[in-house]
Amino acid sequence: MTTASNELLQQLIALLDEFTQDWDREDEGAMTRETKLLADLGFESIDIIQLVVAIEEDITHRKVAFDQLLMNNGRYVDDLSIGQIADFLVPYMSAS
Amino acid sequence: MSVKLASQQFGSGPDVVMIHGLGANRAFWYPRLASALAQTCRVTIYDLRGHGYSDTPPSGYSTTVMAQDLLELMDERGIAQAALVGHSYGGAVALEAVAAQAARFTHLCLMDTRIQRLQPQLRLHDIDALTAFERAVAAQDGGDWQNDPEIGFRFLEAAARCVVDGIDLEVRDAFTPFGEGRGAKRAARAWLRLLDETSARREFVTPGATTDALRGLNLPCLLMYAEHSRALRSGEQLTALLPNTQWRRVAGGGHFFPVSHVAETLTELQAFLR
Repeated sequence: MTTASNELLQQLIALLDEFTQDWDREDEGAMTRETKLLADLGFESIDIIQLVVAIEEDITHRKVAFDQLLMNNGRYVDDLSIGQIADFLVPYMSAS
Repeated sequence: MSVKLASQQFGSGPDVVMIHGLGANRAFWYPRLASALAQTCRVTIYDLRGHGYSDTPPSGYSTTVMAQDLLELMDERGIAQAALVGHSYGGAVALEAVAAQAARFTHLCLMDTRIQRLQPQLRLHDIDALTAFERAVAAQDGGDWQNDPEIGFRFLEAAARCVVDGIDLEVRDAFTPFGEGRGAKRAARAWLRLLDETSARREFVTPGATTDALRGLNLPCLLMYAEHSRALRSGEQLTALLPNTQWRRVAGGGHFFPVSHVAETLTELQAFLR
């Protein structure tokens, strides 16, 4: 795992902690690289696209081509781990 | 603006603003319709007040007030002129915005929209049959659905109560209000809070622009209605009132056809906006 990805992971976990603080989460354990948005955090479609807004505002500070990560053949992917998002964001950070 | 609305923009080109219906949110349009239109347009999607990640003020849920929200959002986002696409109540909001400031809109597409002024009641018998999911919700609700003059609201509220109470109805339509996952409970609770703790329930049925005002709107309008639509009377009356309309029925479609019949919806929209 690259240092950049691990730094992003910590930023994402901090953001997601804040994002889900009012939710009745069944899994109250600490988030890790393997934590999944839908299965573990109870995300719905609207939460995913709002998270995209939050990532662009708080982490990348620019538009990110999230369609490449979220969609496969016009459908949402079944689920995403926080680690997958961190790895996807690495090029956006190094190029900024 | 007075109420904070959650919104997103994609793509570049002529502006298109898409407005979801009640109990839904901007994810109704994303990814398939909004992303596809964003290949040639700048698409803005947003959550109506009281929905999704927008504010939930104690009042202001009529189509007239929500149309003002839309106009303010356009100002905030720097949208001088746009095409509007609205599903269900979102279409009624779109029509009000056009009635308020016609010069700011190039096209209007209404999808299975009931217009309170033209169709004051929405009855169970406005179409022949309930879907499997509607039948299951009605059975669970146990109320007098035959005589309810606002069956659409009754259905949404009863469906939300099933979700909140954890009742699995074991049948599904092509689109299930409030979603399927664990987050569905949050969405259903939010809908019930909106009904119970704000003046939305009363304001949703407030009529908007007069028929005289509607008659004067001459922008191109695409009226798409489901084959199995309870709002058909609204569409037929709009066709008679508005001078520049195209009329489409979505074969085999129900109220949520923009999700269940996405390819057909997209083809019609792209042709209309071209």
